[in-house]
Parts: sequence; C-alpha cells; structure tokens
Amino acid sequence: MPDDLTTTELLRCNKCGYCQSTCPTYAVTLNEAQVARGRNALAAALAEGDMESLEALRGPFFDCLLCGACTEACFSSVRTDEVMVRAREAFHAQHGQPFVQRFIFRRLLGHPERLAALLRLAGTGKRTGLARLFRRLGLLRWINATLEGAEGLVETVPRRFLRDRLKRIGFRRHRTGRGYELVLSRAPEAPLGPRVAYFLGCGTNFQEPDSGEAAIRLLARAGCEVVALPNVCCGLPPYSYGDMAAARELARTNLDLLRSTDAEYIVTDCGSCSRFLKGYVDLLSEEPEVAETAGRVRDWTEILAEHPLPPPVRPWEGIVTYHDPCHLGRGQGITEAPRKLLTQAAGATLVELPEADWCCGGAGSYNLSHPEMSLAILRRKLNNIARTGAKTVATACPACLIQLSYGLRQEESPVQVRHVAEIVAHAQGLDSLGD
Amino acid sequence: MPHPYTPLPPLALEELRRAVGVGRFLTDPLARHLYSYDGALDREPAAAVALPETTDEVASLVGICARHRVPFVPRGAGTSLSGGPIPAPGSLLISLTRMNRVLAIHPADLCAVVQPGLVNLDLQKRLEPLGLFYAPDPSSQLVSTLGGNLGHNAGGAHCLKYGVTANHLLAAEVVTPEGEVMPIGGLGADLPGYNLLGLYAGSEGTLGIVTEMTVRLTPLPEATSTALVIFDSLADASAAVADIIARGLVPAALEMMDHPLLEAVERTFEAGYPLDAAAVLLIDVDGPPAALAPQMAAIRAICADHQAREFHQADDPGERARLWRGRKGTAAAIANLAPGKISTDVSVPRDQLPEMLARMTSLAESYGLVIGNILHAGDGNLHPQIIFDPRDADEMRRVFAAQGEVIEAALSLGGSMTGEHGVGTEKRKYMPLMFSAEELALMGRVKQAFDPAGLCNPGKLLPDELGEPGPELPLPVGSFTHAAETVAVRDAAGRLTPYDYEAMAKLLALATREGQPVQLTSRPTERGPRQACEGREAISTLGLHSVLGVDAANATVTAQAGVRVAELQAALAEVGQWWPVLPPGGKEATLGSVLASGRSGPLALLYGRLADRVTGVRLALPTGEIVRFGVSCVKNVAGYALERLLVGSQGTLAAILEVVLRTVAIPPSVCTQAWYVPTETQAQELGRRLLLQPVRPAGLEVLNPAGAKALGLALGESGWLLVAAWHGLAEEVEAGAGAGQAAATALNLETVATPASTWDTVAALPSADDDAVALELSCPPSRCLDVLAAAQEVMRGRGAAVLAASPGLGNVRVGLPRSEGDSLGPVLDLLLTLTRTRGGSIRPLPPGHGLPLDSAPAPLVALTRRLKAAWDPVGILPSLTDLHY
Repeated sequence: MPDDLTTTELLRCNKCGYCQSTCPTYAVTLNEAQVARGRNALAAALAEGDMESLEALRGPFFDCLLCGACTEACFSSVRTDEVMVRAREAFHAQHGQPFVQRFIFRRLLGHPERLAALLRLAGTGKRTGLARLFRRLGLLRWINATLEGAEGLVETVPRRFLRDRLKRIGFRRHRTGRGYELVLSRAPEAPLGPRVAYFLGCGTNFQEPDSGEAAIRLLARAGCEVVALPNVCCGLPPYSYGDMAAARELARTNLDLLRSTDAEYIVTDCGSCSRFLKGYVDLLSEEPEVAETAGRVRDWTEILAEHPLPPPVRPWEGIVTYHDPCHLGRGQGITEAPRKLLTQAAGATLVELPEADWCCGGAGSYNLSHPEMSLAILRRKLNNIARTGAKTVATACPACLIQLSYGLRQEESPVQVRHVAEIVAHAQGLDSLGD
Repeated sequence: MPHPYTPLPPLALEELRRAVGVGRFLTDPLARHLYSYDGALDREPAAAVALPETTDEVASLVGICARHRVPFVPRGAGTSLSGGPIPAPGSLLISLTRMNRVLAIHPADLCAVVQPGLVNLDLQKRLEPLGLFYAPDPSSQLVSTLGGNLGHNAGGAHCLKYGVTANHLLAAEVVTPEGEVMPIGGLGADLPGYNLLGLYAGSEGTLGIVTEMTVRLTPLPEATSTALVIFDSLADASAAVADIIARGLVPAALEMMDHPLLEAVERTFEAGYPLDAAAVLLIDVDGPPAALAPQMAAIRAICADHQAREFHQADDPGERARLWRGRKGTAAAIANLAPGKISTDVSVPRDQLPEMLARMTSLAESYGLVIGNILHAGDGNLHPQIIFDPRDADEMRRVFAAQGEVIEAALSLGGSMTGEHGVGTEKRKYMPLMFSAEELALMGRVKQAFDPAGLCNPGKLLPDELGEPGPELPLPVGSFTHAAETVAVRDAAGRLTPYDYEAMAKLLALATREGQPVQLTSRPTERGPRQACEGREAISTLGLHSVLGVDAANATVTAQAGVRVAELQAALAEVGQWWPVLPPGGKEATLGSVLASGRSGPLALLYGRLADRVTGVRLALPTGEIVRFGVSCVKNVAGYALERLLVGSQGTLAAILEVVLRTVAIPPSVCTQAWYVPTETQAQELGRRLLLQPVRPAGLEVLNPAGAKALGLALGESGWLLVAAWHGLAEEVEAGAGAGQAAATALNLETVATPASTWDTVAALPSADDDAVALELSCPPSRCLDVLAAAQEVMRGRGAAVLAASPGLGNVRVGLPRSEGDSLGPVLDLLLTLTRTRGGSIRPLPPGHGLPLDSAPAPLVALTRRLKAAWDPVGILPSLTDLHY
C-alpha cells in the first residue's frame, strides 16, 4: 500500500484527535476505530508492517464515508479519504474484491445502455425495480442489506431515464465535424451565454431525471447552448471502493469524450460527479490535455451564478432549508451559489440548516452497503431538518436526494426533498414535462 | 512485526467481558493498537479496551481489575499532550467516550451534572441558550472531554479571568481504585473533610475514575471587546503584559504570539500581521458594556507606553473573530511547517516572561531548531512549539534535549514544568527537577492512600526514581519536653514557639519519635479542637511572622504562616494589592489558621473559594521533612496539588510554614448596599435577582435580627437584613449596584445604612466564644434561604440566636447561646434534619466540639484515615476523622 500520497499524508497526522469533532461515523460509534485518526493509525501500522492485513480492517477502512469532514477539521489537512481509498485497494489486493462489485464496475458502468436495459427490465411491474434487480443479480449478499431496506431506499425507478427524455426536452441532433451531437438551443429570450456540455451522471439519469431535466432547461434559460454528452459513469463508485483500475478506465473513456467537445464548460448537476471530473487532473495526470479539460468542468450552479436567471414568476412557497452535499460544499467550496439560486432565482424563504455540511449518510451507495450506520448518521440530519421548520429540503446531489427522501419517508414526515434545480425550475415557471 | 503486549489473565478476561458485554469489550489487535496513543508521542498497546456506559459498569470493571491485579487506565478523547492515558503494559483501557450525557442543568444553583465523556464544547452548546457557560475552554474544547479536562486541570484562553477546571468543580462521583463508588464534594461552600476534589483535579486519572461531575456555571458576559496589538520588540510586549496585570486590569484573555509563529500564521492565513513584527498581543475584555471602553482605553495607554506599533480594537462578533483568526489558526500554521511538532508547556511568574522568552530565542539558536511561542501571557503560561521531522533522528535528539532545557529554564525562574498539559509519561522524568525526593515520596504515599494496590493508571505523573533525599535533621536526645525546649522557646502561654522552619520541623520530628501528641495553634484567644487540647503539646506558629515577598506584577504574595491577615493586607496595600479574603476568624487570624480552617468567607462569590486563592505552600511534615508544593504561578499541573489538600485540613496533616497567595489589585470602586426585607419570600426574590444579574455582587449576605444587631442595627422582632457589595471598575460597580437598587425598589424595600466595618463583622458572624456554639450549614445555594428560614423557625423563642447566610455560596452560620440552660441536643437534631432534607451538611465551628455530626460514607472515611497516615504515620497531630465523623 505505501505510495507517496499515503506516506506523506500519514506522516503529517499528529494524532491530535480533532477529527473526532466532525467525523460522522465517530459521532455515532464513539469508537477510535471509526474516526480519521484511528483509520490513519491502522493504515500506518499496516504500511509500516506493525500489523498484518487482517480481515478485521474491513470495518475501519470501508466504514469511512469519504465525506472529507476530517480533512477540514485537521490542522495538517490530512486527506484521510484518499488514504482510505488506497487502503481499500490494498485490502482488495490481499483479500480479493467481491465478484459482483467487480462485475458492476468493469462490465456495467462503462456501458450505460446495458445498465439502462437491466434497470428498465427490473423497473417494470411495481416499479420497485432497483431492489428486484439487486435480488435477481444476487447483489444483496454483497451489499449486506435486507431486501426491505433496499426496497425502501428507492421508492420507484423512473419510467423513463433522463437520456430517454432528451428529445422531449428539446435536444436536436446536429451534425458536426466530429459526428452527431445532441444540442439544446438557448432560450429565445435569453442573453447570449456560453456553450456547455452536459454530463449525465448515473444518479441523475437513472434515479433523479426530473432534477436533470430542470437543470438543463435552466441552463438554456440562462442563455447556454447545451450539448448532451454520451458519457459513461464518472468513475467515482469504483474509486470509492478502491477499484482504481476500473475507475481509471471509466475516466479515460470520459476524458477522450470531454477533450473532443468544443464546449466552453463541462457541466453536471451532481456534486459528486463534478468534483470527481475536476479530479481527473490527478487521477489521469499522465494524460495529455487533462489539466485543460478538467479545468473546464463546472457544477451547474457555478454557471448559473455567472449567468443569472430572471426573477421568479411564482416564488417557491413555504420555508426551504438547504443541505450541503459533501462533494459539492466541502469538496468544491460551492455553498453560496445554490443558496443564492434558492433565494433569488426561486424567491424562496431560506432557513439555514444546523450542521448543513454534516454528511447525510447517503455517500454514493454507502446506504446500501452500510444500512445501519447510514441510518444512524441520517437521524442526526433529520433532527436538524426538523429544527428548521422547513417544508422543503433542497440539495444538489442525487445520492443525498435518495437518502434524505428515504429518511423523511420512514418518519412519515410531510417535508419534501427537492433538487435545487427542481425548485428553481418550478419558480421560473418551467413545469416538468413528465416522463 | 506487531507490537508485543501483555495479555490479561483468562479469568479476568471472561469476567470483564461479561461486565460490559461482547460488543463493548475489545481484545482484537486493532483495538489494542487504536487505544495505544494520545496526542503526544508515546505509544503502548492496551491489553483490552472496554467501553462502559454507566457508573456501575465502570465500578464492576475496576472491581474485577482489583481482584485480578490487572492495571487499568481511564481515557477520554485521547487528545492529551503528555501521555496521560497511555496504557501501562497489560492494562485494561477504560474508554469513557460513551458516558457523554448531560445529566442535569440547575440554573438556580449555577451548576450542571455531567458524565466524564461529554465533550466540553457540547456542554457549552447546551448552556448557551440559557445565557450560561462553563468557563474552562482549553483549545481542544471541541473534542476534549470534561473528564479529561478534570484529569489535567485544563485551563484555556479565558482562565486568566475565569480560572482553571479546579476552580469550577463542585462535586464528583468517583469509582475508587478498589471499585467502590464514592461521592465527593457538594454544592455548598467549604464542606467538611479533606479537599479531595481539589486533589482529583490534575491527578491524570491516577486516583480513581471520575464517573460523574458537577461543574460550576457562569452567566455569559453581556459584551466582549477584543484588541490586537502589534509590537516591534518581544520585551516591550511582555512588559506590557506584566503592566496590565499589575494595574489590576483583568482581561478575559491575554494571549501572545512571537515572531516565528506570526510568520507561520501569516504565510498560511494572511491574518494581517506585519511580517517584521516581533510579537502580537490578543486581548479580550468582557463585562457590562459601559465598563469595556474604559478598560480598553487603559490597556491601550499601557500598550502605547510600551511602544506598541499598532492597536486594533473590535467590538462586534464578526470583527472580533477576524482578529482572533490568526491565533486560532496557529496550530494549523505550525502543522504546515513540518510533519511533526511538540507543544511544550511551562509556566513562569508573569514578570519573568521577558527573561523566559529571551532564553527561548537563544535555545532555538543553540540547538538549530525552529521554536515559536504561543503564550497565555496573562497566566505566565507558554507553549514553545518545536517543529521537526520524525524521520530525522538527529533532529529528534535535539528536540528532546531542547524540551528538557525549556523545563529547566522555567524552573530556574520559579515556574512550573507544566502549566496545563500534565506530566503523563512524557515529563515524569523531569519531576525530580521540580520536586525533592521527600516531596515526591509524599506524593507517592498520597497516591498509595488512594490506590494501595497501585493498579490505577500506573507509570504516570511520578518518576520511577525519586532522587537523593536530603540529609536527615540532627535531633536532640531525650524526652520530648526536654528535647523540644532545646529547639524552641515556650511563650507566656506555655506553647512551644519555633522561630524558623528547621526548628518547626525538628519539633514535629521529635514528637513523632517520642509519640508525643501535638497541636498547632496561632493565637491566644483561639479555641483549639476541644478534645485535642488534653495531653497535647501546643506548638505556636506565631514565631513565623514575616511577609517574604509581594510581587505586584505577578499578583502573588509569599508570607509565613504566622503572619496575621491584617499585617499581610497592610504590606500588600503599599503596592496597591489586596488578598480578597475576609477570614471568618477575623483579621487577627494568621494565614496558617485561615488556610487550615478552609473557610472562604463571603467574598468567595466574586473572588473564588479559599483554595482558589492559594497557589503554593511550604510545610513541615510530622516526620520532620520540609517540603514545598505549588509555585508562584496560577497555572501549574505538575504532580498532585497537595497545596489544595492543605486548605481546610484543620492542622491534621502538617505544619504550614509559608504560603503563596494570589492577590488582586485593590478594586478602584467598592459599594455596599443593605435593605430591610420583611419576609423570607422577598429575601428569596431579591437574592435571586441580585445573583442572576450580569454583574455579580462580590458578596451577598442575609442576617436575622440578632445578626443585624452585631452591626449595631435594630431590625425589630422579625424580617431580614440583606447586605450586598460590588467591587470593580467604577462603571461595573455602578451597573451592579444600580441594578441591585432597582431590584430592591421593585420590591418596595427599605434601604438601611450600614457601618464601614460591615463586611469584616459579617464575615466573622457568628463569633465563636465560650458562651455560644457556632455551626456552619452547607447546602445547595438555591436552598440556602430555605434552610435559613427553617433554622429561624427552629430558633423561635431563642431570640439571641444569630443567623447569617451567604445565598450565593450555599452557607448558613448559626450561633446558639449556651446560656439558656437547656440541652442543645433537641435543637441540634432539628437543625441536622432540616439541613439534610435540603441536601446539605453541617459542621461545628471550630471543629471538635463533640457535637453530633454528619457521618461520611465508608470508603471516604477509610480513605481519609489512609491519607492522614500517609502524612502523619504516628498520629501526632489531631485526626480529621475524630473532628468530623
């Protein structure tokens, strides 16, 4: 395991323990094995040969949410999330990677059409397809979740995925020197904005297409010409599980595509995707033009901060509170833009959420792999939401949307969860076109 | 290779596992490794880790350890910087992180009951909506636990004004090293028994495991103002600090950073510090809004006198946070300089700061190290930060050598080897630099009294080698009477009177050799413990009558035990200082007797309890050694705080030879007000309003008509006299007294003029003479007037009975005339019942009347006996258990 990054990061951990103040898994376990300092101590013991690669290390290494809260609290800014990714890679090398995990990362994520077909198949019937799919694929053993838990997590699979709705949204095929492109023209009344390439994240495409539709139409309203990219998964899921090879392969596929687009910006409405895409510069540092390409990546809220929308035609009613997705807020420092969109473009009354940047426990597929821990972490978030008196929780990441909706549904709470884009689109008079 | 470790005996393992359950008892290699460290450099794997959730679980774990001779160690958040919670080989580590609940908050008593695993900041968050806070705020407060804070007697940026953890502890529940649950302390003032709570503070988990603590709360200040002052010279900055203290200004915080640190901070944060500045001071003042501007103006003038280059002041929270930003970021800034750092921690008398800093500069040069200094300058506490790369063996060698020299420098300037981080594993080898072999041996005996089997966090705090003992005193031969008279003269009253420390030590050693009971006494009119008088030789401390040194810049005074309080105050007044204690024994009492009595007097409300005003003692032990504990610094956590144990020890442990006391500048403004209050309900209401005001009174007393008579006031048959005083800057006193008068006016109360001597008289009530029996009742402050009224009811018909109460402190004094002829028994029984039902306790004044008294819990009585034997093996001095229990 010891590579340069791990060595330098671990050396800088002074064991002060300040990460205890922000680590969500520590807050619910109060166990040294579940805090960045402890995880780093174990990684260091492993690296220095003071400890064998025990199966028992699975818990400390894989229970980390990779939320990055420890790094923020750390005087030395030790990047425990990166250390954990490498520790997971080493752990797999020793103990083997589960077959199903490997199959999904290497055979499905690089082929959105295969994933779509499978999900579509499973989504018919009672539309509780994700769980059925998992059951059929024997995935539940891997994710160690109860069937009820997984079924409860996502209520339905959308009838049509975002990629299938592009035509209805108004995308048209344009022929260019590089082949065909799907392009959505800027709104006729809008000022002249940049040409942006829209990166369809898996979560948005397969689970939260309404928010993607809203984000795309808002970009057009703000004056952007939007090109839909035929991208694959950004690579974050395999990266998180320590499957570096799969992550790099997906990233390389995307990088080829992104390099070739002439769009001024590459945009996505998933905070995790936008952060990981920006990180290609480190992941694929040996690739040509990677810095320039990754440098064009923006979260969609960044674009709308520079190309403002007109005032709302029907301001959002009821109090709204905003949950900062880890990879958007802490990961990219984007906290103001989504709040401004809510108060200005949607005219909403925003009440600040206590501990708004505390992880909700969603963390990609963490809620599937760690149902109990995830739920314990979620409870703190739900209590904070209740304290605001908000009718709507806004956020800007599909994983957070799924997790928060799940928690509020479990509590039978009347509070609804919406992507910022949906709230703004509604206030701007853009009704969902439906699926 | 995995670290070797000593496993637990299999039988113990099984029992321990059952005590907390499988899920909370960890024996895997991961857990052993994970609990092997704290925030310092030492490491040692635990044999097993338990995560108890209740006091009972802790008690069973410790009980099992005691039976199987397994060492154990308590651990909080593991953020300590001295190795305190590093397990000794083969130890059970007891992690208290899951005992993190707030059990109760009592705003009326200004206290909270919490579990030891509660994080300091989590308590603050709960208190803020109530307008209260818990004053100790170590930099680690967002992660460190209150139990850990207690174990290290943590300070913080604001302890200059508000004091350290020991000053805010009221009570605790302790699991003794033998596994018994023992409550100590209580809400009332000056409780009977040894000051064990004061000893637990800073004991680094070596005397038992605190499983519950009751802490004092403080009303949040109304307003705070911050100044950032930039200096071109380190000497100027530290001189300004000494001047601020000497002029009697009491900033809430007074922090300093030197040039290497400023540069690091500026590079990381762009905090706005000029790169060529030599030092920066950060100063917070708080209090009523009207009092901030004059304080800041005075501080600004002092800084200007010392050639400050720039003075930035901020009053609103945002701006203040901006000024503090650089200071808060120092740890991060240092972390950016090198992979490793140690934060050393020494304190020196405040006026020695310039010299200490100069030595740090030359130390850094001679060792070729980067040393930046963060200072809690107002406390004389400095943290030289030494940065290094742990892979560089030569550099590490120089770092450790420099650390030793930092400690030696501080000690040579009269300071302490650790101000707030503790001794732990890391610094115990330096203990012999600060303490003699005799002093360390006594600490060892005290530890043994608590932990006879030596299982509770062994290998901490005390060194393995005690060093060379000093030469034994040559003692004259012969019987005690004969030999003693060759050492000391007898005064007119027949008391042996030594005139120097050695003579006192010899007298005690002779008494121990000959088995002669003795008794320490200091004035002719004083009645000693009654049963103690018979067959005891009296030894007078009046021969030790010099004030040795008044240090206004450090706000301390050193004086011998036989000095009378009046003499001390006169010496202090010459430099504008004052020891803010009105001794209940009167101004003619000696310092030794005041300390031994342990009674704080009415001004404890503002100035703290008696133990909070004492920083050091020199003693003659019954076995003839002369020892010293504590230093002339307010921050000192080296070893056990035996100076605090002496306060209230009633002359049962050792002879006090010399004391170091914390003084204050004479307050520029003082105001006393008194009102006639017809009913108890009104007294309750007025008392409550005065105590919850933002500007707290310095003293608040309620007297019955017989008590008021001592002031020359005739109240009539019923009703109460309520007397309040405010001390401080004119603006503070005006705000406090004004609000007090407004509260009284709202209740239609009549103002009463009182004589100038009011506070001396009130403090001494009831006067203990041969015609009266005096008792002190302690109770929770909120029940104080309730106890007072009930006591008055019991006394009905005994018109001459004097009653006085301090409702802010939880203390009621009763003077019963003996002349009535009838037996006092029934009255005492009634008093005892009414006090106990209100959560209080009772003791006679002075102790030793042979009156019926509270009985203490068995483990406490046993511990008290063992402690006594640790000091006085033959038992030549009276015993506290005879006096109290």
